[in-house]
Amino acid sequence: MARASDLLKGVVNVASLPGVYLRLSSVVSDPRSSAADVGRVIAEDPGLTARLLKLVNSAMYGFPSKIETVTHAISIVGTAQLQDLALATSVIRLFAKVPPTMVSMASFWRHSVAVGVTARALAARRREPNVERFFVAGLLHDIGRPIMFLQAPDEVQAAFARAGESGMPLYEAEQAVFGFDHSHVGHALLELWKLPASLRESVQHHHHPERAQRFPAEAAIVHVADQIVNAMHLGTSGEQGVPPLATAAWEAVALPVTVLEDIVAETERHAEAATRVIALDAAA
Amino acid sequence: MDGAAVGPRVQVDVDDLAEGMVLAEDINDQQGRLLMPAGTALTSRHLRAFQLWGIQTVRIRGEGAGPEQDLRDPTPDEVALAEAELRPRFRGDVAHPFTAELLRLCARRLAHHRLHGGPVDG
Repeated sequence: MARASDLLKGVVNVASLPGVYLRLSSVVSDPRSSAADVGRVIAEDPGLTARLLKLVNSAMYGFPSKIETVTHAISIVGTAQLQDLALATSVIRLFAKVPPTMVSMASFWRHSVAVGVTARALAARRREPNVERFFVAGLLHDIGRPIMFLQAPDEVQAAFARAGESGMPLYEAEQAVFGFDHSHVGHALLELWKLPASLRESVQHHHHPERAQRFPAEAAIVHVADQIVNAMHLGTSGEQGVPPLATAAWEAVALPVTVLEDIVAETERHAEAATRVIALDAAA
Repeated sequence: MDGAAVGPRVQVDVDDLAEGMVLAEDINDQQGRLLMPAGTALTSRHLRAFQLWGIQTVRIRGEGAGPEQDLRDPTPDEVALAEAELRPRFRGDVAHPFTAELLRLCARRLAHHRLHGGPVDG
């Protein structure tokens, strides 16, 4: 049986991340570079600049005045955080050409962005230092699915049928049909892109966060965010219900259930706008 | 500041503000610097900022309430109906405190959307 990474072979658009993101990574990780250097790299790409400014000016950030320049955005959001947001908006554009199969890409991104918004809100409650990292982890958690839609539409259809008949979660049906599920494909993609281990682990283990070795909190937060968004039914990545909760993940998140009311309200308020800003113009 | 009328507006005590209300006027500090422009939809962060800045009242667009406030809440029966519809979507143990609370919130949300519009599903 094929391995998850085999599905990546021959998918031309995802072979590598856009050059601007790679240049940005090397500047951010270079201790000699300044915020101005980071700003110059972003400014090379007017589309990226416009998307980043729209994003940091959206209600999710709630800044009292308008942020007009990348330099200003860096000073408020931080370089590492802006790099993560640049990754978020770059990845979506790579997938703009995926044809709709079992779910539309609009619905897929609606779900993915909402999980990002929710993971970010949960991380903020836990006072995590870089909440944008959680936004990206949530955004990318199901990124293996569009690869499967592209590369193995017949098997995907068989998995959907199996989940529909049996009532099992779609990731279990994928496991039965493929011998792996979308989380393994997503992990292989993030590995190909050489993205940080915290992102790779949270994508790989979002259905079984107890298996995460190095970043259990990240995987647990993405799992819980996915639960919340599936329950709210904001878009779908193919899953038709709310899979069982990994109870250890909710314990690892270590927040009282009373926060859920605010988290659901925040997701309701911000997910649509965030989707419009970072996903819809890419799909057009 | 008190000039051009842009529809109904009302002075609201900071303690009575709710998220989602929209500022009818710019808020400036004593030096006249803009702190928050008219048209801002208030979030919890803004409400905390008013406390920090010592602002006591602000002018809000509309009839003194945000869009959510005029709307009646769904009745317990309407929420129960929504909950019965949503319950089969949950594959896990709905008695777990997390899942039980999530189901309760989603049922209330669905009932609210049915009454007042909004996305009823994905």
